[in-house]
Amino acid sequence: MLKLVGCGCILMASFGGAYSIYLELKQHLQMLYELRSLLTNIFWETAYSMQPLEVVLLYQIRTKDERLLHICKEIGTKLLKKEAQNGSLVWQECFRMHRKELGLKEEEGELIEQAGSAYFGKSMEENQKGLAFYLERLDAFIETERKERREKQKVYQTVCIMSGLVLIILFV
Amino acid sequence: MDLALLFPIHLRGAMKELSSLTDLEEIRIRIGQPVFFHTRRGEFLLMTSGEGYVIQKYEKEKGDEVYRITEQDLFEMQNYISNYSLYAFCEELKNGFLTIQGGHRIGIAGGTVNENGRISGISYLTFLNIRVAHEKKGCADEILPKIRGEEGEIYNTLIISPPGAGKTTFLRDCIRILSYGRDGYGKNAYEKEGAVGKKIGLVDERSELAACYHGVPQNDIGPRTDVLDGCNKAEGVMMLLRTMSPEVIAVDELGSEEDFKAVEQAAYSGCRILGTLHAGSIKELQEKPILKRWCKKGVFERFVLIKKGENGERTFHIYNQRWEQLC
Repeated sequence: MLKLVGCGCILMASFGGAYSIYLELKQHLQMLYELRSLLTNIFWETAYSMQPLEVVLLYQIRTKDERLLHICKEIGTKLLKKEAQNGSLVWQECFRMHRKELGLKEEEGELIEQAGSAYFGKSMEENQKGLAFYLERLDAFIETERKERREKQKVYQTVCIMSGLVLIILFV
Repeated sequence: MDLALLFPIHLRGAMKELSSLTDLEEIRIRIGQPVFFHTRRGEFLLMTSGEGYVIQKYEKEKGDEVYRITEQDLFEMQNYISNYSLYAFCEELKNGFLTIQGGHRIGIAGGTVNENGRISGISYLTFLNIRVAHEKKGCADEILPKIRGEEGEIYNTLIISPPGAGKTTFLRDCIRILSYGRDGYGKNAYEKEGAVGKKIGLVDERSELAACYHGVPQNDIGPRTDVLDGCNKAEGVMMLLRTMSPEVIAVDELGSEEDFKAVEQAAYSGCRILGTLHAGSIKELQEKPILKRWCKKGVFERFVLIKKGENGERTFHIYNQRWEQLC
């Protein structure tokens, strides 16, 4: 009886592991989409309102992701204090601090940190060109992630369930 | 806004002394040159003192070294002035100035970008003139009774003076007083005749009067004043006339024929006009070719000539439309 319960637990854990991997992969892709949307929203908001970035980040930007909203407010507040020589450094620092929290890979994190420089240009045209460059690279990441996601999902889920089954066999 | 926040971080310690320069009028920044603080007591400079910096009068024998602004300093200042967002001030940069929080105005010069023979932007900001905002509330107290008619109506008035004598300051105060009315907006304001403030439309082409920052006036221009900021005067007058039903329209620095045409139309539409114009004397004013025509038509009923004395005190003379001095 105990063995049966143990086997059930192992099986559930392996399915749980597989599901959490599925969720993780989904959330990662979701985060990339969310970041893309945030970058474009900030640009259009600045272009439309012609307000300084701090005002846009503090009062105008809306995003579903609370973590991103928090980062935006943090950047806005730091810009308001005028304690950094360069605005893109503030952006970079804030996103670097929250990279793990956002679950970004190293190269994705670096891209987002650099993308901030696209909002500190002399004109909207300059900003637009800069942003286009970063969006293109982000799109490439998203595309790769989308392609890899199914394969990864299959592999990881199979490994999880198989290792669960192997454990059960060993246990029995 | 704290003016110290406009300066590079390493100079901010010294800038705390700015609060003691109560009569500060301008701060001049030029690349490779000392920082000049212009006050009524004369010029002060930023000096190196030990490991820090101080603001003081230049004394050659003291041996203090003058601090010279570097390219990096200016780059930093450019970021702070524009809140790290130069793109948001594109239009202002084309006009050569921008207004910051607190109503301070920053004049800029440097390398210009030209398109079709017109300045479309500034490529290098290498010269800055920070003009410190000063409101002189009450300076127009004496003028206003003299530009009011017997029934309390305002005469169409032109305030004239040479540059720097304070016509904009006087106009701002006139607007404030008229907008508040005699009793502000308290209970009594609606009970006493003539106590209620007037609805004022202000066309502030160079953001000098209201000093709007993100559309919000930084100067006190009264509770019944509507502002068209950064708007061409002629267009602005017509727009206000159509949309805001002002009782008084105030415009700074009238100059072109279009401005006067718009003002004339407003005056014939039942609005009263308060304007300013550059002129050193009444004779100079009479010789202005554009104005001759408008004066003949009798659009303006009062002319207030402001003069600045040697000690900075202001005197004014008021003339009627026949150029007779009233006081």
